[in-house]
Amino acid sequence: MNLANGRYGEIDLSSGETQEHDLEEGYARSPTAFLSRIDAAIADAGEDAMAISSGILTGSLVPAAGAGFLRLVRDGSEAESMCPLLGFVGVELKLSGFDFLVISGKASGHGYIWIRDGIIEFVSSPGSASLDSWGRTDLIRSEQGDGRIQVIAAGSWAESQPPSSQLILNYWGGEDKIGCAAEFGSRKLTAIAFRGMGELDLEDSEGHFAASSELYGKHLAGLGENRGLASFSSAAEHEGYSELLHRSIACYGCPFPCRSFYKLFEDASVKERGAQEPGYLVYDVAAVEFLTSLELSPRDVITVLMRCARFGAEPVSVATAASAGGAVDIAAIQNVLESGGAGSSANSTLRRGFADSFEDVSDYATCLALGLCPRYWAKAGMDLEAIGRVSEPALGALINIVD
Amino acid sequence: MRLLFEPMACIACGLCEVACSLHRDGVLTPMSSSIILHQEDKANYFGLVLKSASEGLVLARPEGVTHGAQSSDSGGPGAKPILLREPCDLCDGAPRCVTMCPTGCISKEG
Ligand code: SF4
Ligand code: SF4
Ligand code: SF4
Repeated sequence: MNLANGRYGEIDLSSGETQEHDLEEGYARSPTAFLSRIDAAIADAGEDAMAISSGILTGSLVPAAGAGFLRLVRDGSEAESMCPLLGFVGVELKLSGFDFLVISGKASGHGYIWIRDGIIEFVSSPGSASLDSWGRTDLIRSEQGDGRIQVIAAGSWAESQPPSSQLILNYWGGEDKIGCAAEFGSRKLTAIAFRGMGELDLEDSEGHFAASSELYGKHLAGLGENRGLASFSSAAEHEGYSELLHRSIACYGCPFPCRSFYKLFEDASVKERGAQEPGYLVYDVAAVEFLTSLELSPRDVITVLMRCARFGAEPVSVATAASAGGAVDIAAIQNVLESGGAGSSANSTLRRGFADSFEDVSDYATCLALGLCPRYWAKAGMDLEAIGRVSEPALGALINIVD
Repeated sequence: MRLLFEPMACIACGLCEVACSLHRDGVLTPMSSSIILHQEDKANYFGLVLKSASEGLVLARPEGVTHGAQSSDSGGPGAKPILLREPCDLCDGAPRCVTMCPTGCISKEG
């Protein structure tokens, strides 16, 4: 199957059993059909199941085609039931041998799901229960002996399962604005980790390469100079951010990154390997803007984001609780974080995220089902015709994007 | 002809790796490329390793470009070590990694 593995995995955390299922040829001819197929697999696995998935075009040369998503069965719009998975997470998931993975049940003790080379297993990890999201990620990478393993981790906040908990992807937060981490906590799931060693077939590799390089060129000419986070948020234009800016770094396939790394504990201009944990990668635009509105300095904003990531807590909700409508400082935020999150509520009005990239939430769902970053495509201009033109040679068929 | 690097221009998008695998095997994967993206997440330290035919391993690190050095940056255990991969053949004169690189981090000379 072009750009796909043609199978999905399933794990029942209650029993530890895993299964593989073949997928029908052509099952992903449209974003809607693809999501329906995932939903059917979730329904087959049981009422409490959820899925993590790559997108139809994830790993291709369509611009910013590195996205995957986590799918929950929830009432409400797609914004409430889909959480983007960015960085290299979506690509590595697809290269690990499965198009998506369905997870059901609850484990009896803490542990993580480990996927690689078509193998899925639940690894018991009682020691990880007391670790923060960074410690959990470090532990998995060290246990499995590979620094490029992609890790979706919950932090300690997930243990009490508040809607204000947040999943952390390889140390950084910004995607999970719908409390998916609480789903992990309720299953004693500390993380999902994967490493992709596979490859993706294409119908016409030359045609795909030619069409995609042409589209990248067109996008780059229109997007202008990239300033990382400052290209996506006026709050990050403050000189306090530029003083701390180290480098911007992209997700797979993104030519115009929104992710800027700021050094807090080392001179930002240091190029060599220096401190092991010199700072934090910022791409949570909504949190930066909200924390800035509370008159926190750039250094304090970045510090808050880093601490929230370690606890696995959503920063806008944490800062809302800490400020109680008034001023906020780091100490008040730390107090909220150390409370563990039990009983805390989510600021669902202001904790905006990738779902707000477009006015119409269906564009958001389409982007994720395709495996494309909604933020990038909102910036470059959603162009279904161009996506179809570049993906057709890869898939060997024209994708039906608007069915 | 040879490839030149400006490491600080790199944004670690990974497109050069898959462009290379497309040239080699007509598939998309970072596992068989002659060029490897090396990333250390927490330190935001990243750069490239090229297995060149004429200059040995080219390390394009943030602090500068070196040639001929050995490298342990092999893409991780289980990944095909760089010493077992095919050396860069410059895509028979039309380097695909140069075409795909969105930042001009890789260019060609000669
Ligand atoms: S716009 Fe930002 S989040 Fe989206 S693909 Fe680019 S770097 Fe990643
Ligand atoms: S020039 Fe071609 S063979 Fe060499 S690294 Fe680039 S894509 Fe690979
Ligand atoms: S394509 Fe260019 S910017 Fe992207 S990883 Fe390769 S060298 Fe870096």
